[in-house]
Order: sequence, then structure tokens, then C-alpha cells
Amino acid sequence: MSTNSKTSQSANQGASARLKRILITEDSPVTQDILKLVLSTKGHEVHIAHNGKAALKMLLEEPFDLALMDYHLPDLSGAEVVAAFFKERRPDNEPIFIAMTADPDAFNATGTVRDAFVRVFAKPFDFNELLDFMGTLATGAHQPARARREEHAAGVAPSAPVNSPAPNASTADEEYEGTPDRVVSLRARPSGYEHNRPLFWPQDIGPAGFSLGARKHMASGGDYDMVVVSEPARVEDLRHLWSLGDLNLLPIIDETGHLGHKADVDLPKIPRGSAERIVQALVQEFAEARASVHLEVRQSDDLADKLLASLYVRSRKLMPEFSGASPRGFSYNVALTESEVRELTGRLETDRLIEKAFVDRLHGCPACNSVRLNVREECFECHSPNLEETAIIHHFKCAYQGPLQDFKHGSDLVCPKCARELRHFGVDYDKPGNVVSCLACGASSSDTAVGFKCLDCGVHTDGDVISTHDVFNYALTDKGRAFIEEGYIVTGATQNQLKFADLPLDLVIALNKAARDYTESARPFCLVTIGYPQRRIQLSEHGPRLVELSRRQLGENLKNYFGDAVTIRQGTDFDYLLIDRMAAENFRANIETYDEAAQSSLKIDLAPRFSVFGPGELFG
Amino acid sequence: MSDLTQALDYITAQSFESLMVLTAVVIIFEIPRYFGLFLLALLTPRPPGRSLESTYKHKVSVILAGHNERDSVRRCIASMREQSRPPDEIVVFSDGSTDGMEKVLRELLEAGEIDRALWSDLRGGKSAGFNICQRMASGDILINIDCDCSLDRDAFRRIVEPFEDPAVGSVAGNIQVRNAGSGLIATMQAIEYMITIALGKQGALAIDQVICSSGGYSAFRKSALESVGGCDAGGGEDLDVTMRLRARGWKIGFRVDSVCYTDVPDTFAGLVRQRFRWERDAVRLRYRKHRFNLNPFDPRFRINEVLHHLEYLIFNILAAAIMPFYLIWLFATYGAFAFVILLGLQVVLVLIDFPVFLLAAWLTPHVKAFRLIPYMFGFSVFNGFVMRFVRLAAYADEWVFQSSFQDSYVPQKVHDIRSN
Ligand SMILES: [Zn+2]
Ligand SMILES: [Zn+2]
Ligand SMILES: [Zn+2]
Repeated sequence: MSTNSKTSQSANQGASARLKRILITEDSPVTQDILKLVLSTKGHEVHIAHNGKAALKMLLEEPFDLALMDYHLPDLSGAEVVAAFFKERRPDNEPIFIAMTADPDAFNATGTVRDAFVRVFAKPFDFNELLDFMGTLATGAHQPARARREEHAAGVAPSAPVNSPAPNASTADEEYEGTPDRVVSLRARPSGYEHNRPLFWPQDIGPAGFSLGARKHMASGGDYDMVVVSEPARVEDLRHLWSLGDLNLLPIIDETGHLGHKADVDLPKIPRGSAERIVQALVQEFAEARASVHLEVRQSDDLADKLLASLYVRSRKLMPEFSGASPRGFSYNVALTESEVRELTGRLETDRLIEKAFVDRLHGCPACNSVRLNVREECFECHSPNLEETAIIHHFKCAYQGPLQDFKHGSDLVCPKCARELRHFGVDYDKPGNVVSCLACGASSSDTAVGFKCLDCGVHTDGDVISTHDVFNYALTDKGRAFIEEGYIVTGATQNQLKFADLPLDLVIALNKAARDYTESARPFCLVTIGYPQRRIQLSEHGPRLVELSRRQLGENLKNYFGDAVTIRQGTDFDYLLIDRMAAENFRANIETYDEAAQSSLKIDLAPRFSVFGPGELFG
Repeated sequence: MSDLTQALDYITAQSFESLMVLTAVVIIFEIPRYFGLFLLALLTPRPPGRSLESTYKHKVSVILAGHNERDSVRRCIASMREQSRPPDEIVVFSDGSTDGMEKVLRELLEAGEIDRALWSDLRGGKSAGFNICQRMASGDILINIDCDCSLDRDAFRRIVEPFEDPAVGSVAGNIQVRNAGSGLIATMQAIEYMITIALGKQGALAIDQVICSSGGYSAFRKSALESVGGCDAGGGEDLDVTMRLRARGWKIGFRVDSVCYTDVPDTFAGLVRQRFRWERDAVRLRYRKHRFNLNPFDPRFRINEVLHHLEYLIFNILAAAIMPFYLIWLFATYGAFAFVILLGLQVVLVLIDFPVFLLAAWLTPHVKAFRLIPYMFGFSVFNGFVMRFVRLAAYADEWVFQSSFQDSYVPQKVHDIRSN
């Protein structure tokens, strides 16, 4: 055991005691998940903020010992959060700030605010380095702010990846310390993906989960843009893609051809020359689509949400493919098992996020569920398929009517009743129908039963009691698409719940004031959010400039309509309208009028969606 | 009213001889027949009920042949399932149906409601249908039933019991009218069926004179059927096969307590068509095909068979034939007074019919007979005059035109080939 690892171990133990409460502000679901996982196992109480506003709110409300901040957030930058925090914090609230950034130069250009951070880690950073640094912080080396400059300057300088000498494998830290040969395996990846960051099966993600190298990469904020299956794998083997962050939204490139339509690219089926181009295009496509998935959905732990996002990113229906290879008879084009798909689609369909369409009806063995059945014509009595069909003969003269064999007399037909020979078809006799005789039990009938014999387990089932189940394909509904793009605000249960974290900061302040007035003097107000469910279509149809202009014009129109009583703020996904002295019911009652006023003289139809919240809904 | 009192005065004023002449038709053609039956039925003890287990000694197959019976076959099968002694096997044959009857049969077969379902694309007629069912059935007792019949709960149990006697080749069931409420014509037939079937056959049974195991509902010993080759081509096959069984020495039974209900024609035209068919077939079979029964030099001649031929000749044919002459004579002799005399005769007939009907009702306790009583007077007119003229017309028709050979109940291909 090296001295290095000894110090870091003891330091880490101390860190969990001193740096009890940690806030991680990070928008990458993968980094979030893995940081939380690692730090929690080290005894820290880990909280997650998905964006800058949420981080600010949490920092102001509860004391944290350490704040680990991604510097590039979708709303506020790390610098803005810190600046706002120092303006409003209580004096005794003094967390240690650490920044993570993929762009250290931009960080250095932020001026004085950067002084608030004790250290900056350049993404992708070495995770052990972070842990070690947390250790030094815990041992009391918490320097005064002035002294921090040199410190972070050193950290920002792109330091060569530090691979500490191999520690003893028995320590708790082992899996994050990394052994040289694992690092080697990380580097000795199959080639051919020079422009990409592939996650390899089974090198990076194996049957037991993620490799050390992969964890390190992700924990330090590194991301992947595709999954490459380089050795035969089953769907179950890729289970881990669905349990960490939004890795399930990466394209799966199957080099083996074993996954079939469950992979996004079945490489053996693609002409060699075009593979590179196709993969690149797909990676690009997926990355763009992922960017349109609302952060809430990307961060969701719910497998149903993940499946929905997967359909969205892959822009395809959930389609069954029929094959006799499995007893089930079909599989869906997603890297989940069929029973998982059935359960998840049931839930999603109930919420009307997807809609199903009938594809086929399968008959299954009631004993083993296999659809590999032999369909047979059988005897109604004994279920033997050993049947023989013969004609019925009617002898007009004596009215005898019976199966052909009753009349067979060598090559002649002789009536068994009246012993006359039947000579003239249509005059002496005719054949009015058929009778099927069972050679096993002698029963006869004009018809046969249908029976099924399972080829897998041998169980026999009558045609009328065979179990059937219908196979559907599933497509995203408009609601499902809106949910992916706009998050939980769309779905039923959370329709009217508004997250304050989503609101622009000055609007939160205005809202607080309005709330105070409401409690003191019962002066009504309402907050209206304006969503744009058709945004993606509009963007592609009219271009971002016209959409942006129209949206601004819509705000102007409302401002003119309501006058001074209204505060309007434009957010990323939503616009917000705080109307003084108007109850939510009143707004709802006249919503059509307001909609018309808002959209007057607009060049394009924005199809805005208004959601109205009164004080009760906001604070009750 | 004065007419009636005058008539009564007139009748009471008559000497015995002239009274006999006046009422000859009634006395000869009505009283002996039914009064005889009345007495016979009174003398015959009701059949002893046997234990239910004893009926399971036989394998009982129901055979059901029908043409375009899609709508009635389900109900018929369901009523069989309700029997106290359910059949061991049900064989159904759809005879060239065009109404999708075979689809219903297929469903019933799949549901296990029936055991054999057969169908043909070309219609072969009642006899051929009966024969293929007989061929396919595996029971030793075959119950033949029409699709539009429904059954009393004990019907099968009771019709199987007489087969205890190994000499019995067939047992006729007690067919009664289901749609008695649907008009006067049907009500009249309800009374007629009570008297001629419940009472008539019960009486006939006492002297071994059950002549027809009706195609509507009857049971056969399969070996007996095989001994005569089943049904022959042509109409009236039920009468024919029964007479051939008798000729072979089989006993024909009847069970008054094995009741089956059927719908009868409820229009006069329908009734006339039906009776034309029956009487024509009867005449053809009796006096053409089974003529040998009346020839004392034929080796098959039996006195037992002469009896029912005579009965038919006198009470059906002669009674009908004499009717117009009697009426002409009556009106020629008594002028307008004839009406009153006829009226008076009707009163006498009603007085006779009453106890006869009550006995019939007593014999079939499960049939609701008493609501029919108010129609008794009408029945006497119906049976004594109307039906006689109908029969008369039918006999004339068959005698002159041999119409039974054009009967639409038998397909043309069978008519073409049949010789007798
Ligand atoms: Zn023949
Ligand atoms: Zn069989
Ligand atoms: Zn099976």
C-alpha cells in the first residue's frame, strides 16, 4: 500500500465528517448519477440541483458544506449563481465552492467571481484528484479566499491525467483508484471510432456493470456519444444503460449482429464503405434529438420515462419483429426485454403518452407461453389428427345415405341397403357432402376441430381454449412528444405544479411580493405560464428568427393589453405573466379573449398554451 | 233460440228408428271409434314408471335431421340437455341447408353440445337425412325428433322405458300442440291432438294398433331399423317405416307421458296443405305399397294389420266419403229443418266429446288442457264436418292425380327415380 493512497483514504474518511452536506449542480444526468453514487457511498449527504436557479434557491435556503458546480448550466452560469448567492446569503452561510468546466479559458475570463471558487476542475477531470482535494479541505487546509487564486490557477492548467500507483485492492476506494492495466484496457479500445467517444461492450460496460475506466470518465463529467457492442450481447446485458443517467439515449452500434433490430445500427448488414458515414450521421442525429429532451425527462429514474425518451430520440415507433427464434415469437426494436416493454407500454398508454395500433394476434401455449405451435385438423372426439375425408353417397331409390366406404364393393358401388348397383351419377345417386372419419377412434363428422400442439413443451390445446394475445406497435402521441420536450408540466398529475426553480429570478422576487400582498390585504394575482408545444415544428418551418420575433411580439401584445398590472418575463421554454389584481378564475374565464389579444397581428400561429396559477395553487 | 227448442221438440218426438237414421253418421262414424278408445284407455293401466337408472342400460342417441333450421336447432338441443335422462349422443344432419345451419352445427360441435355434425350441400329429403343419422349414430336406441320440437323434462326417460321389452322395435311419443293460443285453427288442433294422439294411441296400444311412430318425435331400436333398412324414399316415411317394422314382427309402443310439443299450422290454408300431404301419403302407402296386408293369400298377411286398415277405411275414408251424400239426403228430406237437426247432432257430439276429452286430459297431466274446454263445441264442428271435407278432397286428389309423387317435401331427384 502506498503512502499516497493511505493519506487519501484517511483524508476521505475525514472528509465525510467535515464536508457533510454536498450540493452538486450539474445538468448531465450521467455525471449527476455517478457523482451522487460515489459521494454517497463515502458518507456524504448529497443533494442535486439540475440548474442554476435551483442551485441558488437551495444554497440560500439550507446550509451546505461544499458546492460542486458545473460552470456551464442551461440557465444561469456558475458565476451568476455565485454572484447572486453572495448578494443575498446570510453571513454564517459559507459553503466551499468548487467549479467543474469543460472550458477553463472561459472560466478564467469571468473576472472576480471566479475567486469565489477554491478550485476549478477541467472536465474531464481525474476523479481521484477530486477526492484527494476534498480530503485536504477536510483536514483543515481551507485557505482564505485571497490565497485561492494561485491554487485554482494551478488546477486549471491542464494537468496530465494523474494515475496514482496501484493501491491495495482491498480498500473501499479501490474501484475508483484504478489499476494500470484497466487504464490500459481503456486506451486499448478497438479502433475505427476516432471522432467519437464510444462506450464499449464488454470493455466499458460489462455484465457486472461499468468498468472502472468508464466510471472515472463519467464521474469526471466526461460523456459518451454512442454504445458499441463489440462482442455478442443479449438485451439483458445492456441493462445498465437504462440505470445510469440518460445513457439509454445513445445510439447502439452492434458490431456482432446479435441484437438485430434492437440495436440502432446492425453493422454486419451495412456495406463496409458506408458504415462510417452512417454511424457519424446517426451520432449527430441522436445528439441533436437528445438536446430537445427536457432535462427533467433525461434525469428521470422512471424506466417508463426513459423508454418514452428513447422512442423520441430514435424517432421511431416501437415495432414488433416476428421471429421463430424465441418462444415468444416477436421482439421489440428497443434494448429492453419484452416483459419490460409490456409493463412500461401499459403505463405509458394509460397516461396517453403513447398510442397503440394492432399488428397481429398470436396464439400461445397455455403451459409454457410459446407461440411455436403446430396447428392441426383434429378429431372432435379424441383429438387425433389421423383423419380421412370421404364423400357421402345418397342412393335416391332407397334413400340410403352414408359414407362412400359403405358402397365400395371392389371397384363397384353397391347399395348396402337394397343391394342395387349404383351406375349413374346424378340419376341413381349423388354425393351431397363429405364426412371426415377418424382413423383413431372411428368418429365421424362433416367437420374437423382445430387443435394446437406445442413444439416446445408438447402440451396439446383445443382451438377454442388456446390463449391469444395481441401484438401492437406503439407511437408517441402529441402529449408524449410534448412531455419529452417540456417536462412534467405536461403530464396529468403534475400539470398544475409549477417549479419555482424554473422561474426567472426577478419574477420569483415579484411573485414573493405579490404573495405578501395577498396574505396581508387579500389582493388577488395570478401567474400564467405560456408554453409552446409546437415549437419544434415551428422552428423547422419558419426558422428561429421569426419564431423568436413572434414570441417577443406576443409578449408585447399582452403587455399592451394588461398595462401596468402585468409583469412579463421570457424564459427558455416558457414565457411568464404575473398579473396583479386578477384572480386565476377570471383569467381562465376569459382565456380565449386573451389568447386572441396575444396573437393579434402575429405572422405565424404560435399555438401558445396558457396555464394559470392562483395563490392557492402556487403556495397552497 | 226457438230453432233449438223446435229441434229438441222434433228430436224427442221421433221414433227410435227414425232417430237412428238421422244420427247414423254420428253413431257409425264417431261414437264407436272414440267411445271404444275411451273404454280401452280406461281399461289400460297407466304404464308403470321405472327407475331412472334402468334407462341407462341403453345407449341413447338423438338423431336430428333438418333443412334450414338454423334458428331452431339451438333451442332444440338446449331442451335436450334439460332432460331428466339426457341423451348419450346427439347426431345432427343439415340436409342441404342454405341458411347457414351448418355454421351453427359447427359451433355446437366445438362447444361439445352435440357429438356428430354432418351436412350436405344438396338436399336429399327427410328419409335420406334420417338414414344417414341412423348410420352415424352409435346408440342402440335412436330418438328421432324434429328441430322445431321442444320437450317435457321426462320425455326421453319415458320413451326409453318400453324398450325393456325386447320385442319393442319403436315407441311413439305423445306429440302435443305448443301454439294452442295462436288462434282458433291451432286451438282446434290442440284438442284434436289430445284426443287422437294422447287418447287415441293409448287406446290403440291396448290392442296393438299403434300404426305410426310419428316423424315428429319417436324412438327406434337401432337393430329394428337396420332389419328394415331404415326409411324408404318418398313422403310419409314415418308411417311407412312403422308399418314395415310391424310387418317384420316388431311391437310398436306408445308413451302418453313422453310429451313433445310442436307448432301446428295456424292458418286454414296451412292446415289444409298439411292434411293433404298426410292423407295422400297414407292412402298411397296403405293401398299401394302395403296393399299386401289386405290380401289374404299374401304370406305377409296378418289379421292384426287388417284391423287398422279397416279402421282407416271406415272411419277416415268412408266417413268422409259418405258426408256429402248424407248432407244431400238430409236437406232433401228435411229442407231448412236440416240445419236444426245438424245443430242437434252437434249437441250430441259435444256430449260425447266431453268425457273423451277429459279422459285424454287426465292421461296427459302435464299438458294444460283445461283452458281448451270452452272450445269443445267448436271442435265438434271442426272435426265432424270441416276436417272430413278436407280429407275427402285429399283422397280424391291422390286417387285421381297421385299428387304425392309431386310433393315438394321430397326433392325432385328422388321423385324422378321412385317407382311406387
Ligand atoms: Zn339402395
Ligand atoms: Zn378420433
Ligand atoms: Zn408449451
